[in-house]
This record gives sequence, structure tokens and C-alpha cells, in this order.
Amino acid sequence: MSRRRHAAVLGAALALALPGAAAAQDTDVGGEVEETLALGLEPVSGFETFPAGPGTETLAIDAEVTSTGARAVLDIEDEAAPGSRAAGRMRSGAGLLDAPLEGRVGGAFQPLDALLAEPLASFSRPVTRAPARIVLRQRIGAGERPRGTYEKTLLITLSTGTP
Amino acid sequence: MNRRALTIATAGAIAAVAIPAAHCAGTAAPKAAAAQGTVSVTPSIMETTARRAASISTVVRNTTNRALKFTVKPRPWRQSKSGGVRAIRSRTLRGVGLSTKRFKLGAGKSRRVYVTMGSVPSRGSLYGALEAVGKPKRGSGVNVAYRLVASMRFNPSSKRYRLRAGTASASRGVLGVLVRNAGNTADAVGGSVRITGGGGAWNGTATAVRILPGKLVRVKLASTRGLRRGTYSARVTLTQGGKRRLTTTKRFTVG
Repeated sequence: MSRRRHAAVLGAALALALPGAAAAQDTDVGGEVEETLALGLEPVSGFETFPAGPGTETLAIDAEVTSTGARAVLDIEDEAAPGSRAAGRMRSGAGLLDAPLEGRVGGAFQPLDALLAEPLASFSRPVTRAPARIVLRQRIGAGERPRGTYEKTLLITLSTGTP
Repeated sequence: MNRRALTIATAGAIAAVAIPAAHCAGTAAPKAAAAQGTVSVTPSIMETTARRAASISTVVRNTTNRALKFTVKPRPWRQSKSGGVRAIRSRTLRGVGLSTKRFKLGAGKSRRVYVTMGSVPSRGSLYGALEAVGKPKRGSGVNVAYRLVASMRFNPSSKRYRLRAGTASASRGVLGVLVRNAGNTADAVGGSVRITGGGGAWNGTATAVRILPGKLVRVKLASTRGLRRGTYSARVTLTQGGKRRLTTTKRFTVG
């Protein structure tokens, strides 16, 4: 259907729905959409303490992604320097849990003590407020006795997928 | 600037506003993440021509309901053979300066960050990432911080296009060819392929991909689903900057 005909049909539809709004003209309006990345994160709390092992704890982080570009990538990284002893591990004072945190969005869990082999999620077209639930998993080994209050800062990363 | 034009007819615009409003009444309430607002960078792709003191900028905006401490750094890209890029957090991109590196943004506030090129690299171009990390007040347990990574392109004033094709292979149902960008621009590489063999011929169109200067990326050419096991010949034509840059013939095996 041509744009002119499309506009005419919509105009007729509007004439029925909104009397007085039927004066459709072929005046083009325009705008520019700048490339934008926007990340929304729900406040998260959890993983402050852990029961004695063995066991597995999980925590969800709800994110929303807006990207007007052709490609965007959602990732998660530990704030601690990659390769450091604390990278990916929950810390309580000087103590670290044995197993690294793991994360996923739908796919398989990936350990956070190194750069993820694959991004958590990729968006190959523009998206607006696309929800993504990041699930974190912490394994506690048999005989492991977590003590104190743990903490960790994670960088939820939204990046352009192309250079 | 990378902007996409959007043009719609007036009647269409009215309908686009009016009709969804009528239909949205029964939809679920927005998610909590949206209610908390977002951290954004606009534009997320900044580009200009490389020259001394050339400047680009982006706006970091905090629409969450809490103040965030921001750190902004220029980073080099790491590009994988699939074409995907990641900003290398352990390194700083040299050759650019920032108008501000650390600042606090209250709820609803924004800040423009300027990136200025120092001297132009010998290659004539510079590509990198601008990383903005926004951290809320720290607490116990898991803390989440916002990290947004935008793209910076200081394009060469004189573009040199040079592509080198490596081996072609069929993997996971897709024919691809390794392509090294030996030029000085990250303009998207596209192209086409004509596959012959097994008593037939097939055409395909490459998926356009930006390859950083000096990097090697597997350019996807065509699906190999439906091809019988055997050896085929692929006549590959690669384009960049709107022109054909390379034509080569590669052999590959399916099976």
C-alpha cells in the first residue's frame, strides 16, 4: 500500500473514531533518532551471607535495555581487576568464597572470574526497554563455612556491538 | 554523527499516538527496572574526521532516582573473529583527552563529555570505546553499577581501503571467509559470493561487518544448509566504502 493511500485509509479511520480529526494531509514530519544506549537496573539486594555448604544460592537482577543502534551487547563483569585474586569471588574482609560467582541470561552459567566467553545477551536490532533477567549463582562447596558479610560490585555493561 | 532519518506521514503519526493509547489500557504495569530510570549515553556512536584537536562528545544522563558517581575512560577495543567488540577495561586508549573523568550526577541530571584527539596516529585514524561507569552508594551483598560503552570513530581524512582474504570455511551451516582489514578505515565490509560445485550454483550476500584496521574477522557469506557433502568453489567479492575492493576464489568443504 502506498504511503499516500495508507495515510488516506488512516485518515478515514480517524474520521470515524475522532470526528474532526479527518483532515489528513500529506505533510511529512521528520525526526532524527540519535544512537542511544540506555540501561535500567532494578535495585538488588542479596548474597550478604551464605549458609554452610554444600549448596547453591541464586539471585536475579532485572535489567532493561534500550538501544537505537543496529547492535548492542549486554554483559557483566566484576569491578575487581580481571585476573586478580578477588575477581569474580564474593569477599568478606580478607576471605573469599572458593567458587566464583556465575551469571547468565537464559543461556548457560558462565563464571565471572574471567571475561565471559560469550556476551550475556545480544540485541541485533533496535530495542526499547527490552527486559533481561540476569541470574547470578553462587556455589558453596561441601565443608565450606562462609563467615561474615560478603560484598561484591558488578558492572552491568551495555555496549555498542560494533566498533 | 550517526543518525537514522525517520519520516512518517501526518495521519500515520496521529494514528500511531492515538491507537496504542487505546490498546495499552489493559497491559501490565511497567517493570520496576523502568520505574527506577536509566543511565544512558547519547549518542552512543560518535564520529568525526581525524585531525589534531578534533572533538566529539556524548551526553551521560542519569534518570534514576539516586545520585551516581561516574568515571569516564577511553578504552581500546578488542575485536573477536566473529566481529564482536569489547572495550578492554585494563587498558586506556592513548591519543585522546577527556573534558572530565570523574563527576557525580544527581537524579535526573546529565553531563556532556568531550573527547579531543591529540596528534593523529600514523595510520590516520583512531577507533576506540568511551566507557562510562556509574556507581551508586555501596552496600553489603551484591552491588550493581552501570557501565555503558559508546563507540568513538576518528575516521581518516584520506581513506585507504585494503582487504586481504584468508581461508574460507563452512562452520555451523554458514560459509565464511577470514578477512583482514589492512586499510585505515572501519567502514563496513560487505559483499557477495557465488558458490559452484556439486552440479549446482548458489548466490549469497555477505553480512556487513565493521573490521577495525589491522584486525581479522570472519565475514559470513552464505548459508550452507542444503548443500551436499563435498568440495565447493566460492567466488567472493568484498565491498567497502560502497565499492568493490577484492575478488577472490576460495575452495571449501561441506561435511
